[in-house]
Amino acid sequence: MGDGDPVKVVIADDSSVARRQLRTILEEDGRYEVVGEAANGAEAVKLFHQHEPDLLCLDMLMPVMDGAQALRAVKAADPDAHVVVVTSLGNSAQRGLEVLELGASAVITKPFVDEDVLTVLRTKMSVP
Amino acid sequence: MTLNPIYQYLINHEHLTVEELRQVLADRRERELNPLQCAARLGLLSEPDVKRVRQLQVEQNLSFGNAVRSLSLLDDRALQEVSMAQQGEVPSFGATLERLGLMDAATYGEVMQGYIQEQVRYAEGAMSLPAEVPRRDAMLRILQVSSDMLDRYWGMEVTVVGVKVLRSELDLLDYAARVQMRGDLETQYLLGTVDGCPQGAALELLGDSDPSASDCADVVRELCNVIAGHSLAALASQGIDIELSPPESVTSPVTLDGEHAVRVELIGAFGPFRIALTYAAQS
Repeated sequence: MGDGDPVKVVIADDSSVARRQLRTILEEDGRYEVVGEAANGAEAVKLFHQHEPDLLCLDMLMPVMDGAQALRAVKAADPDAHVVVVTSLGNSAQRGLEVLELGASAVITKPFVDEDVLTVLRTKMSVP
Repeated sequence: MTLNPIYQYLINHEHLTVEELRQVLADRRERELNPLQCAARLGLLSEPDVKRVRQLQVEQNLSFGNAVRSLSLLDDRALQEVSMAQQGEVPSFGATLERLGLMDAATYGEVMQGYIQEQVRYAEGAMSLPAEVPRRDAMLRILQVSSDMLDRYWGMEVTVVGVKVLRSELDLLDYAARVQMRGDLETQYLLGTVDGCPQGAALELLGDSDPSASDCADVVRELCNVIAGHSLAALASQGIDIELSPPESVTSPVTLDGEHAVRVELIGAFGPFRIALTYAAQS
């Protein structure tokens, strides 16, 4: 990601509604470019290798391969990968801690609040 | 369940039908001034500014708050002022009942006296799920999270209109989804609603005025997923540890195989909801 280049993002969520919501938030901000969408963890890992995004937004609760498994696979392949975990698990501190220990850069909770999402990403991705 | 207990009281005591309540809620919603109108009325935005905001909202599908911030027209304090004025502009529930010819002011006053007396009785006793429902505190917490989420995050203004135990079959209306909860509490969390409600939610969530049937099913799955997730957090704070399955669509009616279910009916701005929690049938 060079100066002024948009942050390339892959979104992984089994809900197309959630993917569209997140895509809209990111694209309306103008500093992000969504380069791929995955509906499960296995697809997410595949798209991560295919697109080499600056950021992977990964839902935790997905079929086929869940978010935690996908996170482990991505971090094993690229320990510097930026992965933000998306979760509906409310403000459960324990769950948040678990995914951060697995190497996630941050946690975003559902339902999405535009400003909160962008603030977390701005902080973690050093987006101006 | 404590959300909008006044509405619940009016239905339970047959002062209003569900249809009449829906009519009142819809009427209040329609009469509510939007924030742009409020800001103009407060003199915070000039007529040209109003046009600029409206144009930006349409072009970029922005909320009022994001649009005025983007144009540097209002700060947070002014936005708060708009929000307070907007709330003040909503016609009162009693006034709406009278205007729609459903109840005059004197009768509404008497009904409210009855409601207050009943609340005192509830406070002295306990409003709870039927005695046969196990882990009632935990089950109630989940139902409370459900109504809070629908109301607070998705603006559906839900109110509880009834609680029922079902023993063989569970009717969950047109679109339904389920999440399995396993661990300290073993239950299926099911949420269903009528055709029209997911469309309203899709418009609210995505700005999509013509969602496909597949999108509608996905909206209900996602509501179910997010509510179950927040329930997990609420239960964890009470020391109850559960795991969740991914949400799945189910076809109504759902057959209860070796289980019973407590089903709560709610009515919201987009239509009725049914939320159910299952538990092992006593042998």
